[in-house]
Amino acid sequence: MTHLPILIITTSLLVAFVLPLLGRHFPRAVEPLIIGIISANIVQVSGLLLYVNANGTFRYALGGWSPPWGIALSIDALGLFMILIIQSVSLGILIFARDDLIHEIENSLKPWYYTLFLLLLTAMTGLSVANDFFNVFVFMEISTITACAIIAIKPHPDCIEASLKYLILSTLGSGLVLFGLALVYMVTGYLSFDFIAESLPNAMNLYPLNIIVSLALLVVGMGIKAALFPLHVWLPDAHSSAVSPSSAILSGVVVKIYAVILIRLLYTVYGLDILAHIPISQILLTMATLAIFMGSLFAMGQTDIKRMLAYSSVAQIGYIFLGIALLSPSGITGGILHIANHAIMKSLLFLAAGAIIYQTGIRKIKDLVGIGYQMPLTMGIFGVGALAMVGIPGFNGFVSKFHLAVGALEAQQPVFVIVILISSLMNAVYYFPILIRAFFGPVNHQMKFDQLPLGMVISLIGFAVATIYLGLLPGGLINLAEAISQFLLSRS
Amino acid sequence: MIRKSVALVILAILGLLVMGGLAELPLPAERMSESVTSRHILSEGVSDTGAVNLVTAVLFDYRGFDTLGEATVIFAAAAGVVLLFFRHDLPTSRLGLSSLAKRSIMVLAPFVFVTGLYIVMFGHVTPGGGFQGGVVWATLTILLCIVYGTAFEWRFINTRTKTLLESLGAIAFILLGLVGIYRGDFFLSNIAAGFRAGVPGELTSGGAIPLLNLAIGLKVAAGLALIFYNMVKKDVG
Repeated sequence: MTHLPILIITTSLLVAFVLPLLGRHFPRAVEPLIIGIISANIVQVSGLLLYVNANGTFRYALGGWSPPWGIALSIDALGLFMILIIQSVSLGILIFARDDLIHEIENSLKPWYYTLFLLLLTAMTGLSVANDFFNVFVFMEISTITACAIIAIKPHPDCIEASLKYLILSTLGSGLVLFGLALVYMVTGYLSFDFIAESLPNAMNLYPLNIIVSLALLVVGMGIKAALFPLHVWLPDAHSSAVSPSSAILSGVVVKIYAVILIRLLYTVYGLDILAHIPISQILLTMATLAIFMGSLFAMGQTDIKRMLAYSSVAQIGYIFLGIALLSPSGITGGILHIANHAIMKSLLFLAAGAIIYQTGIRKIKDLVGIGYQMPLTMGIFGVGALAMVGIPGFNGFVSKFHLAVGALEAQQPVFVIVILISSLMNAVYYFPILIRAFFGPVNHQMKFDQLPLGMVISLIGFAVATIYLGLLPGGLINLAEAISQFLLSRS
Repeated sequence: MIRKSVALVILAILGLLVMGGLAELPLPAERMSESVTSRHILSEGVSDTGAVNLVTAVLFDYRGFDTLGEATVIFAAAAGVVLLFFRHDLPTSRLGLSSLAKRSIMVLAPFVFVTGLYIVMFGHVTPGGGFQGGVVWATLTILLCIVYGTAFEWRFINTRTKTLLESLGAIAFILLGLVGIYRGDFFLSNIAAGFRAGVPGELTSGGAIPLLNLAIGLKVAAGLALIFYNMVKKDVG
């Protein structure tokens, strides 16, 4: 049991290294292999999650060198929860990608695409359990480069430009994080999160300005990568121009992993005592509120459906940071829940948009008139995602927004309840017109059924079922999120 | 103009703040003697790992997992470059430089190769290691490409072979790490997993470190050569 976390990472890496070779000689084996390894990972992580629930968190010391000499992974509920989301969402996306990629990229490039996709997953898996500053930096580099590559894979000038923009800004973010971690290393002499957490209170007395600067650098660096408003400028281009499976994984999961690292840093490394010295909570709350409003405002003005979804992600990232920065138990629970719920519904929306583009080639929102009669299944599923985004009770988006609102009351900042309410209305303003156009516009088409490959249909239905299931029976997920929030607050 | 000056003022304030943070710090020499980690590695490093070069001991033993990550970064970068230049064709020029240049590079080539091998294999004894030696090997293939024309390189070590070597290097690194789990210790365990520590300072010392260096050397050499080859390709539309 104790070796499982490292086996998940190493077997995924092994498969990623083998895929380019396999693609040349047995191209048919590539897709079953990558779907098999991700399914195996899901089973292993679920087992680990049960084990950690029963026996508590543990550390895995690589090479047998326990910190501070070596690197250790922290196998706790937060990391395993994130790995479970990463692997399950990407399983759905990959089942969709099998059929969708055929018309987007050349066949011989597919093994390379899967290699990069799997490396991205593995890097995020490593980031979820990393408990060492430099280890975080290394995995961040892998995820940056692979994310850029899966944007640039489509041979289109827009994609190359978006990818370059992302590469430059993301590298700036990595640079800031590296500077911040160097400052922490200089005053504490440790890279391991556990040891830094122990020696920071003492260092705070000796070098207060230094630690505040390091915190600022880390928050801004992670903020760029997580696309927190006003640091989001790269996101709309990158997420709208990429191929649909890439958009889904980038918007659904990749931006959130940096929020998770920031949660870990703020709560378990710096701790609430040091955070009380600086108005970091107020700064993050302001940025989150701005993100929620501005993201929705920009989304309203978009004519391209994928670009609208990308701006909607900027707003949703705001909710997650709102939950993190409220510093109250229900707030954190809500933020964690929204990481999972948004991953599912945004992947669903991007894949549904991808299915529309696959069948009809339509990207403009105004051209979607009557599309509900051509693709009733896809648009029905898009509707499920849209209702979840707005936060209608019975869909998963409601569950996390409800916890965020309770968290705002717990933190005695009821103004954020109003923020959540207004922004839900704003979401409705840009999601509902699409549904109205699709189903209630003038009908000049005959009623048809979607002409999509089986894999795409299965994947879309899977995401829709998850959205509704987690909306109606969210108990298990809420328990898990509450356990994580207790774990985080007990550490600081 | 106004935007620029506002940006400059903000940058100056932020810069001053960072300077203030740095000014608080003690001098590097004081910090080194205080750091628990560096003192431990300086005193115990050689007996823990069997490697005389402590930088390599940290890179391939204490923090071997980070090195696996760094190697993966190069792998991902090479894969990304392969994707970007996929539609381009390699101009197969047979011309190359003058015969004088060709003769002298042929005399030099074996020495360059052996120098690379030395830097890789003695990484745990003298300064060097897989990353540095791998770069020397990659330089050799680039030199041959320039002097003999691209057709020469294409025939002898084509991109398929390079992809194969790169993957093999990366796979070997992980398999060496898994030996640790197989022997009942942890991933990337070295001496504790039964690799022989040997006599410090000799080639056979350092347990798995020389093997890990060789794997990284192959990976880095093939990866960098792959990046170079994809970048000299010509756009055929």
